[in-house]
Amino acid sequence: MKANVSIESLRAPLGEFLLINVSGGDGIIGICDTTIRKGTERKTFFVGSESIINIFNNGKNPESNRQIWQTSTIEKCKQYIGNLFPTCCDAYFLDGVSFFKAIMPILELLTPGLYVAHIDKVYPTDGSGNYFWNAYAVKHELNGSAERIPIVDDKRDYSPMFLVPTKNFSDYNEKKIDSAITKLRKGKRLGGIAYHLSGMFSALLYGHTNATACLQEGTDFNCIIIEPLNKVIVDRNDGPTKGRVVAVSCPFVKIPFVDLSPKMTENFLLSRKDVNIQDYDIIKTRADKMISGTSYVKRLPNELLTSVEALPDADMMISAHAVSELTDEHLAALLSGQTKIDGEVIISTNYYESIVYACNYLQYTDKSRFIDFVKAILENPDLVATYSYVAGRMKYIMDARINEIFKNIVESENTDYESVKAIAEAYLKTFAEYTEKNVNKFLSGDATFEDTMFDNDDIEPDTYHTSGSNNDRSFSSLAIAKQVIKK
Amino acid sequence: MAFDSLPGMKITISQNPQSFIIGDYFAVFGSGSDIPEVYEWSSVKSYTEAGDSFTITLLNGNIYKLTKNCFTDSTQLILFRSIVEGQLSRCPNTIKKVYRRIVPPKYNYRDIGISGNVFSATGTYSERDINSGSLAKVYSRFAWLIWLSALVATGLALLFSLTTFDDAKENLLFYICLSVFYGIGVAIITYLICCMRARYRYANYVRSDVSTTENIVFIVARDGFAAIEECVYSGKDIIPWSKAESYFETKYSVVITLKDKSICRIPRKLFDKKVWDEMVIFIANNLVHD
Repeated sequence: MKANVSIESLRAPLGEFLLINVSGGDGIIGICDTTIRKGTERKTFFVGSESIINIFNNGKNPESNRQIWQTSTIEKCKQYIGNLFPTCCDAYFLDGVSFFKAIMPILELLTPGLYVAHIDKVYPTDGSGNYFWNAYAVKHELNGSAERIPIVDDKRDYSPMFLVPTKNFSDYNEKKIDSAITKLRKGKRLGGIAYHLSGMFSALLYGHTNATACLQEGTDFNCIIIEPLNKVIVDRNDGPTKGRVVAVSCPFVKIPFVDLSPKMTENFLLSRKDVNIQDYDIIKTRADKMISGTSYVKRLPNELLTSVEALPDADMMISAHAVSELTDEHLAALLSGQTKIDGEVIISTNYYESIVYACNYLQYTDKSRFIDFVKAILENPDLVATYSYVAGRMKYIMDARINEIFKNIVESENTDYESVKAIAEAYLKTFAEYTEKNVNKFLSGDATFEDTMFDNDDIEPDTYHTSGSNNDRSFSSLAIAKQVIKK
Repeated sequence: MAFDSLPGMKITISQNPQSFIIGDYFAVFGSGSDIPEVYEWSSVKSYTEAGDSFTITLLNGNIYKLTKNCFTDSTQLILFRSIVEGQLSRCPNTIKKVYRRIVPPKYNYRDIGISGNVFSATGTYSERDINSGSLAKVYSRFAWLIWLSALVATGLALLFSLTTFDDAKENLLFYICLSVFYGIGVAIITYLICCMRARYRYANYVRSDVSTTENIVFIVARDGFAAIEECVYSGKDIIPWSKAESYFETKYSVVITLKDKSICRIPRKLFDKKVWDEMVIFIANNLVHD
């Protein structure tokens, strides 16, 4: 039986979204509680009677990171969904069908409750610099997967950006990826559909090949993200509503009860998180198993792995969402050993934590300032304890200024740099190879010149395609090569 | 957690124009208002089920009273208290008081699944299933008082006879027998008073607990035991053995107890004699191990 679905189109600080009210129906797609050990918590993302992904919390703390792993694949759910996901995805991204019409068949299969659907950029990684498709065969803890990310304010909005696959890695097919790349080059829009699991992680229901193609081509991968709107915000401040639940929330948006229609409010309150699912016992039993058929290890192209390493990781995203703003004045105060400015805490009262968060925040939001900041850190002997961490953050950014910094470190006789010399040497080697390869690629005519701009005289070859607002100011080594040839 | 798979419910109190939604949260709609006051269950300071009503007191001082006659039927009432008590099972700071309940309160249950050998049956309680347990409990607590009253009555009767009747010394044996019979009579009367008290307790149960007329599912398994109304039984809720301390068996039932209070009563009539004997040994073994 299909569910009754009503939709409202709204706007939030992060952009437009659909507010969806699902009631009745069989609840084919959802998350249920499959906890087996007392004192722990295990949730399972299921489709029909198949458990696909487990989310495990070794305790009850909402602020602790989850272990996430695949237990099965979406391919086994054909009897419930057929080709629904590719059809809906292509309808929106390729055929230009309106958003709500395209996803309606999926919404009718969701478990009852409120949902939010939006389109956003996602990163096909596990948030720790690993390619997503083969990263979840073994259970492990993932940074940024906590239900409530400790340093990020409850009221701060973010779009869950890391992906968990629902297809078996044995389906990774280079021919299909090449075909998707061809489509991309022809100007077609490729996307995917994801269902939010926990924290910054979403299950990719469809679009594994598209995500890989976008990654290889260095273009953004956009996804239709469906988020259950089933968390709440409690007013902890003194006042008439102290202790009350005042809003419903999911990572993307927080909606006060006053802004919800009475029907939606009632449905939210009547729907329970652990819905009564027909095949619950089968799902719970299947959730105990691990995914099979991943033993065939495929060698991923080095370019793909390098591209993945250059994408933002969970630390960076947490910092980006935890820090509201960092002015030059703030940075100067941090570099002078202060954690407060005019009596207000800049980031945290812990000095080294502040430095780490500032680094991550700048790396995500403003690469140029990031390089200035890390350069200043590496020149400050009082901050020697952070050198390793900072060098670790710098090594994935292919940039001439960073190359210069590392070159100076290698040539320096200062013993403070001993801990980062190995990283610096490796970087210099990688950077030289990278530059040479890109020049050759350009000369052979394989390269494209999208997003290449010239706005200063620095040489900044950039593989960091997703660095936010400062993207416009960066340009690739291909562009430099072109400039050199023109001269 | 236990009883999390039950659907949420809305209750409207017509006398006092208020509506409540009971689910993952506790929501109260004032008269004519579409915007609810919503609370997490951890905001509940105390929960009390009395004979005729439920009272929920919040940490902010608000008190909500739901009389039992505002429920449309017994199933709705059972659903209400199952959801509330299931949610409160994870709130250790909430004071929970439940009076006159035959089946165990739901906050004792855990959703830990049922594995291994299971003794199960479904049926209703009868008066003697309950009374036998109540009486046995009263008797075990006041047996010394019954025998003491018999002894005291015998002694007093004998003393009275010796000081009142002239022929008492000549017919001493007769008066001793008479005094003993008198003492036995007093003991019987005391016992009958206990029986009446047990019946009174049962009458109270019948008046205030809808479970006395409901079909109950009884489970005894390796992981624990259960007596749950069939209309809210999900097949996975169970009270762990760690919540029980001892048991006693009567002619009509077995009663599992904790700190001298009955937690669960299982009627004998629902099981074959052989199965019953096995089950009682199983209960004994589990309580010994714990």
